[in-house]
Amino acid sequence: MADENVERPKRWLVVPGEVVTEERVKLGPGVYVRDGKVVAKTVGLAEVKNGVARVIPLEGKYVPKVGDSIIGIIVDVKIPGYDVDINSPYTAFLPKDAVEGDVDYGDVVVATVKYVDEVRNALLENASVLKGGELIHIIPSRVPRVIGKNASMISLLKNKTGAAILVGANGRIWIHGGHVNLAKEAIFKIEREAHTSGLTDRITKFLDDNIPAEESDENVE
Amino acid sequence: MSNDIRSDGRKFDELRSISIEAGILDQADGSARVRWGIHTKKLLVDPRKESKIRSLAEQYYIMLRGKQDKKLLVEVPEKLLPYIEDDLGKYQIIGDGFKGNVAVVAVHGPREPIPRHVGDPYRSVVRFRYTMAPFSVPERKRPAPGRREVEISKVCKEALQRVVFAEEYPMTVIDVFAEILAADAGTRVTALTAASVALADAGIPMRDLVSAVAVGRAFGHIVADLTKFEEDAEDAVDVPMAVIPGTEEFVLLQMDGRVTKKEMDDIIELGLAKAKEVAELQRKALKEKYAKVVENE
Repeated sequence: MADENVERPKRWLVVPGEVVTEERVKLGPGVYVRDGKVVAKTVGLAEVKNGVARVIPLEGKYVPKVGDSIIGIIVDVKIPGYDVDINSPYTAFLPKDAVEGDVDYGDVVVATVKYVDEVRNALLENASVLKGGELIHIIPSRVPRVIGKNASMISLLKNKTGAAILVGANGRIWIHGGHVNLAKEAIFKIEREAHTSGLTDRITKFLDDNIPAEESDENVE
Repeated sequence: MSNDIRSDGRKFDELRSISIEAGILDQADGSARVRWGIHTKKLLVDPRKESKIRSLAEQYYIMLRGKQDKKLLVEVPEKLLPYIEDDLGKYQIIGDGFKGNVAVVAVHGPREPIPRHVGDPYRSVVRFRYTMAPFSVPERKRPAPGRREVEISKVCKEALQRVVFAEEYPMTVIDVFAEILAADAGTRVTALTAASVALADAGIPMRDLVSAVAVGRAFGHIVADLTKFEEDAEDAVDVPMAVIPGTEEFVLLQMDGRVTKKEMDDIIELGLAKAKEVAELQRKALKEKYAKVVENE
């Protein structure tokens, strides 16, 4: 995994209203045009790459998008299906035929967003219930950093901790087996330092330094 | 009174000291605290100077705090002290103080609109609740929201509604709770300044920050950022305003008192310049939150 500083152009911290660039570029997410200048909408990392200006947000709520894999909690059982809390201002509905077996109030499910309606309420599909393990929360806009480029960060975490890790685009992460606590600490570290560069190297070092002495990857229950 | 300083030792166009901190509350999606006021020194003065100090207190922001060890306990703005030192005789500094506004703002949202009927299927609705703690002013303030609180909540809400990209979160509300813990004139601008930092901290898309400041007239001069003492002057005019610094658009402009057209032009011009100073502090506060993490490494 190459250092992120080498090939990526510089990213810098911006706050709403700050000019990202005065050049004519395409608009990516998180920016708008004011008086011919490209201006940031949110607190985040600004980037101008390949003629596209964008601000990668550091805070914010999850908004469901078709195709996202999310982790939800069942909050209501109805006749045609289930209401699911997806850690968002918007609600989601999971039809009974989109999930196998019995689902009950309080169950944690991983599902895909099939459709989002005009007021952003989501319809889910391909759901399966997650049993056991631990569920943690991070800020949804920092999820891409936990996954990493070509899933590099998440495979690093899985390899080093021996845990099964499922990352939902809505900021919920399910960890099962292996060194659960180490994986949790590493993920919270990534969340805290999402705006810094050279993160993969620091996480590798953090995992190597903190991995418990006896190599016991066998206790996966 | 000396002709080039104000009742608290500031210059006519000088803001009080402002410190802003972002992300202070764990439970809120975004939060900020603003301390906006003057730093003071607490002094012990010879009681024989009492009548002298009482006459000084008519034109300067000097607070008599009673007696301690048979001496007078007097609170004097730090910046004023060099100007009145000679009148106090021998004195002893026993501590520091702070006289000003403290606002804590929490932002929740965008979140599900409750009650459901306040939701708008085309945009997010901003709700603003301004409250003042009973202990924020010298006399106990009744905690129930009154005419004044309802008004301030309304004008602040409208100022913020203008800057958020509300159409990105249809059918949601953004709740802003502003709590004034200490008050010394200019609480609505303090609350609004804190609120826009808290909104940005919550990751809500905004056109720009909102920077607010009060400018007005007191003791015959156009002055920036009036204290309670100046606001109570015979000729006082208070013009709180909030500006979008990038476009110089006004999103809040109120006035209490009477001014000539020329004075109003000066007030607006000074306010705009001062609001931009506030904006710079707001940006710095937001960036500091992330700079800290890097330093800890």
